[in-house]
Amino acid sequence: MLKPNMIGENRLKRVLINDKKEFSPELTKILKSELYEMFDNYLSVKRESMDLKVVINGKGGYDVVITFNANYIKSYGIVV
Amino acid sequence: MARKIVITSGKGGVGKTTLCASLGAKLSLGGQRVLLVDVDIGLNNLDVVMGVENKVVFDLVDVIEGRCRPKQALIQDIFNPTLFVMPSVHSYNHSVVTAENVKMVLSKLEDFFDYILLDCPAGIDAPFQRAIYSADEAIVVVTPHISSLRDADKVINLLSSSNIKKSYLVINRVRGDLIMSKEIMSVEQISELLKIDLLGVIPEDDEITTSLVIGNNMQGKSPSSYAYKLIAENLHNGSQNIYDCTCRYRGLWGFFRKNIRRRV
Ligand SMILES: Nc1ncnc2c1ncn2[C@@H]1O[C@H](COP(=O)(O)OP(=O)(O)OP(=O)(O)O)[C@@H](O)[C@H]1O
Ligand SMILES: [Mg+2]
Repeated sequence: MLKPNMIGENRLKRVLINDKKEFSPELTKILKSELYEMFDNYLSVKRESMDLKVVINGKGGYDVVITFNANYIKSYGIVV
Repeated sequence: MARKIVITSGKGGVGKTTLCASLGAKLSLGGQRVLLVDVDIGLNNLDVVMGVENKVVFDLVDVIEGRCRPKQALIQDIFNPTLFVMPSVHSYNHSVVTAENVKMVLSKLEDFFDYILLDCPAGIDAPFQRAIYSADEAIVVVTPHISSLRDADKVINLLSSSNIKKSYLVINRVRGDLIMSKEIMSVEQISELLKIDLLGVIPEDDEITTSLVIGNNMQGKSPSSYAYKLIAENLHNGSQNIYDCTCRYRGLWGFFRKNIRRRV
């Protein structure tokens, strides 16, 4: 059984993380669009599958998680 | 030139005005020239906490509106000759009090003081922005409650993207007996989560309430008076002596004290 001080700490951590993860929708849109452009040079990205999550990582910074589906890898010449 | 420090919190009623008055008193006892400015316009209380409410002739709004010179709105403390208050008792006409106006008033006084402490209103809206605008440093006051800590975290984020160069944390109303029995978060747990430098810890102390009733501004030898003294020293010298709220509850006497406190 956790002591009340640890329960308090965990609840506070959760609240602080939730408060901060709100990334403005405008910024998310811009980032998604720029990332799409970049990845699309190499992969055939399904645009609507693209997702971007920004979460506080407990070290005071952010973890940015990008997920998307791609149909195939584009051929861009021979890499030696 | 004075160090200009705003005392803020986010959540209301956590002890900003009390800290402002008591820290001012302790700094001035150490020989510093201190000015306390009530920027909590409309919900001002610094005059009452300092026990000077009957001496107010002019206030911050009068200075801004040109009815008097800045020095005419200063009230000298009864106990400490180097401690002054600029109250704000006019609750009307907030709109004349802009951040720029406050800054201009302070710029005319900063050469005469070592410290200018600004008592900030609760919240993070325009009155908060107005209060922090003239300061270079900030003290964020919290109590060990999740709601207070959450609001403080928002304030700390706002301060980090403002003109404030350095922010400190003060944890107020700490009950050592509850920390010992692990019923509330410890000082270390709190400061680690909020990630700003801890300036001090103040115990929950009935003496604060009594001292406010009689208006003697923490002149006694209570635990909180000592805690305020440590905060003043830390702020002035850069030392890091933090009041230990749990020390009264250690050992045999501490055991009895803890149990008595729980039962009354
Ligand atoms: N360490 C303490 N122990 C006991 N009581 C305290 C302590 N600190 C402050 N108080 C009491 O808490 C109440 C609120 O304090 P204060 O007015 O300083 O808060 P505030 O943050 O300035 O409030 P506001 O946001 O309304 O301006 C007062 O009655 C004061 O006596
Ligand atoms: Mg106040």
